[in-house]
Amino acid sequence: MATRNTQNKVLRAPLEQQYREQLAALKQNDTDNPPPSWQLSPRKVLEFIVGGETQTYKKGRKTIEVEIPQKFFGDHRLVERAIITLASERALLLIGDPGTGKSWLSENLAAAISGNSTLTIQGTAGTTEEHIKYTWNIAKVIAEGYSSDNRIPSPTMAAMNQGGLLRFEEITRCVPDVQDGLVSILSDKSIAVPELPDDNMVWATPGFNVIATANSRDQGVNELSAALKRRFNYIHIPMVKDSATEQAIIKQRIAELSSQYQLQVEIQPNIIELLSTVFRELRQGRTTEGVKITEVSSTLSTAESIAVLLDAAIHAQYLGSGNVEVANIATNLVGAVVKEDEADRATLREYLDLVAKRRATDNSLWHDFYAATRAAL
Amino acid sequence: MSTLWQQAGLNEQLIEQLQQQVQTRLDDALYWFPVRHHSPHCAFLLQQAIRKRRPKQIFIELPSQLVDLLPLLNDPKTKPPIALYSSFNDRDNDLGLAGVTTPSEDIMPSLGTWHPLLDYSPEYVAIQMAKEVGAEVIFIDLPAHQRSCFTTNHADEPEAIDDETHNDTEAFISSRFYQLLVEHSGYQSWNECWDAHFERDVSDPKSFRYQLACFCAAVRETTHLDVETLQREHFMWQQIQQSLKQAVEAMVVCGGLHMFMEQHQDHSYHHANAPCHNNTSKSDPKEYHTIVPYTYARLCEQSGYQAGNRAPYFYQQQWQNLSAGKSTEASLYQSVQYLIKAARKQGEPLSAADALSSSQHALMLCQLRNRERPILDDILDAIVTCCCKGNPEQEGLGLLRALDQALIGSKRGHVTPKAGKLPLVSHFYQCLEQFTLTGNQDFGWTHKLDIRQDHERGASAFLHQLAFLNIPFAHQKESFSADNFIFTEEWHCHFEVGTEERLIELSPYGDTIEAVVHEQIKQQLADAQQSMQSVSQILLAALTMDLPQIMMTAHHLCQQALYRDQQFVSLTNGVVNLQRCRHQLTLVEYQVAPMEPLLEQCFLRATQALLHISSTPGEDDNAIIQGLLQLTQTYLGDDLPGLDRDCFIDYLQQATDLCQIPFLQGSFWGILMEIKQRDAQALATHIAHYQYAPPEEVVHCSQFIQGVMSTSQASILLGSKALIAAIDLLLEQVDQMTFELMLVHLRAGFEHFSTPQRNRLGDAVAQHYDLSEMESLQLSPTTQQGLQVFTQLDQQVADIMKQWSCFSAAK
Repeated sequence: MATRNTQNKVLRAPLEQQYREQLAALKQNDTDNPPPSWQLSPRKVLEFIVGGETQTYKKGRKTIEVEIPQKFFGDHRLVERAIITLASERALLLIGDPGTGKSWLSENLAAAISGNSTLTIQGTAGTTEEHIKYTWNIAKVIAEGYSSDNRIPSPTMAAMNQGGLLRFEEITRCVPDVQDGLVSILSDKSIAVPELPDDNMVWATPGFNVIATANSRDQGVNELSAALKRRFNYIHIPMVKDSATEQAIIKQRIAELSSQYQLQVEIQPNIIELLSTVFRELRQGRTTEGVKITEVSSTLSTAESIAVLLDAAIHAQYLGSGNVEVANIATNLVGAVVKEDEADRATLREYLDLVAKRRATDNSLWHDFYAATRAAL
Repeated sequence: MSTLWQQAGLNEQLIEQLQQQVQTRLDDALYWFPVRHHSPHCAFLLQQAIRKRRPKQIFIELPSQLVDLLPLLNDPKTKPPIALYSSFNDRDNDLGLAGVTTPSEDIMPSLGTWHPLLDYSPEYVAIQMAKEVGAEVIFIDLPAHQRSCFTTNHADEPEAIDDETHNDTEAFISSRFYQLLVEHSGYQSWNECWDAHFERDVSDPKSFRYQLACFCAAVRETTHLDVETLQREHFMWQQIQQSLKQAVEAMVVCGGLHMFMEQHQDHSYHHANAPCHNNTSKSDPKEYHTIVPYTYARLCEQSGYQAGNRAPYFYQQQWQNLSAGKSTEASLYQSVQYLIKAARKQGEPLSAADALSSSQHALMLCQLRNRERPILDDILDAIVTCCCKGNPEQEGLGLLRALDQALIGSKRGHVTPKAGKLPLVSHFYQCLEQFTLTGNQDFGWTHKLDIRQDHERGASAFLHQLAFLNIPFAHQKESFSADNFIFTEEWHCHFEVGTEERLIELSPYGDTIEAVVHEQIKQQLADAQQSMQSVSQILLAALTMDLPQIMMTAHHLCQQALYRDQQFVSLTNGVVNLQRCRHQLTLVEYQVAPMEPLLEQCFLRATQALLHISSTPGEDDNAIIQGLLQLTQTYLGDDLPGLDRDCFIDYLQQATDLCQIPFLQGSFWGILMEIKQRDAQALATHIAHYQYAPPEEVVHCSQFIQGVMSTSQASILLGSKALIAAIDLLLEQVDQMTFELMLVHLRAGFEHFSTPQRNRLGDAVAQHYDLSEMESLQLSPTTQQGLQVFTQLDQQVADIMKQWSCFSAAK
């Protein structure tokens, strides 16, 4: 379990701490029977993630009203399918383009279901089987020999012992040999410890499950084996397609981040709308009027637009006028669009000349945007 | 009180009003049973209600004039899916809509409507049950050709009207009540909402009727009903009143929305708009109806039939399970197993374990979604979650297609032979007999036709007509291997499920294939008036189908198209198609007005359009080049002495001088060289001007050269020496990046040359640089002597390239 009461002392506390009150209120009002080791019933988990009615919460002698805001924007069906997958004890793999909210959903699920979202393995090219299973305290082993006390459990083993959820981030970044270490964990729900002949198995307690995430742009790099694929239910998280939802996400996240960074700048809704429009059009290769344009190769997810806006807000607060202006966005936008492929610069230029310039004739915001971004290019 | 009203959050006042409305109608002496078309649960509970009440009269919401089809519907040899088919053609233009709702005054409004009936269509079940209990059946709906959507506005195509179901669905979806339900319950589609509430565990007919009445009353109260729906309801109520004997012994089976139709005693209501519908059950000489076989594939929504059913086979299973009294779980396992098996047959690597996990997932999902039993949406979500390993729109596409196919099914209905065949269908079979185009019905057969023989030419024209009408029966094979492929055609014929369906669809247009083709051509010509290419293509198709009489109208239509069309590509294609038409007419020796003036006029319009080319998008470049080459060919031909060749030269010169796009400018220049208006020396001089131009202009020059090469090869070769010298001069000055950009265009230009032409150009290059003669290069690089020559050559080429600034700079 993560360190308690760290919410005000750390840069970012785990979600179960950030939303402690909401989770407690939901638990108090939960009339359904949750599955073994689950903190909440599936219906309440769903409510926590997609938002729900305000809950009355008895906290000591006080009774307070706790709002349950929406945390995951997008198709609710995906969340329902994810919850049922975990309830049916099949492992869950969230797959999608970068910035679509896979890790965010995974963290929310873990926080709501097991009350602990910190049992996490970050998949990288350097992840080894020991990271997934266990390692030994070598000094103690030399002094005392192999024993379960000298074993250092991995997050997997901890989740198995607690009946919690293991979060495996970017699983396809791991090499296949390491990925295959999960096969027995998912099918037998156990880890073999051959070094301890008398205590050679660690068994998962009820509630244990795995939520993995994978970037669909990594597909084919370290493809999951057929055996592992069979053990996962895949849920594809698509890019947010409609403008209104994307703007709602940006607004909510920016409000949260502003509070975290103690920003007092004001961001006009039309700036959010403009940014979301530009990102969506460049991503989809089609303008809102239906005109085909060149797509950019870099990922322009909602997370990217939030990052651009946050940078602009910080810049406006500490180095600018205190208001986020289009000029603040322009510089960051160029950096977001033109990353590894220099051809994206030409694409952005083309977009500005073909689309933004035309809109600039009768819209002052687009006029400012065109001028500032053209200059930044 | 209905929980649905509360679920949607309706206010108390409205709920009270609805409660009163529903109770009044349910307490009515006349027994109203609301239904949804193609709903197995509605059908099952209706069946029970009829058995229990044993009414003496059953009023059914089907077009009133179709009531004489009852004996055919009740015939034991009639097996759904079938459709009640009605066609109407206002051949005397009594409605005065020709040219108003149709593209031309020559085209009379026509309409074909289908009312599909499945085993589990409540209307079909009501007809069957009426027979069982000995009740009289009365169809009460307004015939489609009397509805305002046909009689007053755009109903120019038979496909424009499916049936009334589509309008009803629109009314449901646009209602505020439905929107509120979606908002509160998160339904993603109308089908999901319906299934969640009404395709669930069997209740008794009484409570089902109550729930559906509550739902429909709320929809009706919060939606807008169009004039047509009100007219239909007015008509239905009239029909009921006219035929009703004892209200307590009668039953009305109608769409839920119409259950609350206004029961006007005063018939003046809507009379101003209502069409004349006295004695509508009598046959109208312009209207024809029958029953026809139908398929699940045509009925499904995925085929574009908006009033269809999303999964005909799946609901058929539900109907069978209901009739057999199967439990929810057994029904679920059966459906999942069937779908998994169907996907496996299509190559999806799925096992029994997947079926198990999908079933479990579906059950849990429906609980989370507050449903008593899994509906189709839950089952599909469960299968996608458990079996699709990736993005459903990419990795899961095969699985989704397999599921779709399995849900739709492939069942085809049968119609009793007593129904006979539609005249068009009969004519089709007569033609097959006449042209001896019959063969193995199971595997298809091939016909080789020699179109010089009259009989076989007739057969060829008939097959071309079928292909033109998209009747899935015959397709022409490429027969280049045949000895005489100009005069022979090879066709593969095969009876397909869709053959008769398509014929039935086309029935409103005429009773013979030729008549239908005429009508379709007229329609297409009327639609294509803006484009010379389209008009000429249709004329060419008509000639292929041995319908030269169409050419009688060609002049007038082409004149109109020529007047409106300004597209260069369309006009040049018009020139080509008209030339082909002229050849065809010569072959059939058909006497029509000479086509030369039309061709000359088309050529002139295409010439004039040369000046507009520069504003066309870049992706049209290839089509423009083809057009230019075709015009040049016509110019160079000697069979059209009246062509205004001077005008062509004049416009081409102007286009060359005015054009700002280097590639197109080059292509014009190439044409001018081909028709001997400019020579290679002039071209070399033009290129040489770029010698000291900025790099981007030099790249433009390479695009210009590419353009020249795309339209002119022979003339370039004639003056290759000067051209190579000019390009060499250019290359001497450019930097490496410019050189690389130029290389792309120059290479693309050289691609237009044939191998011998390239060799000749290679010789000219060798001569320009004083390299060895071609004869001495016939050496193998493996011999010592050959190796020496090649090494020497390499050295010489390297020395030449060193003089080019791009390589010297790199060095």
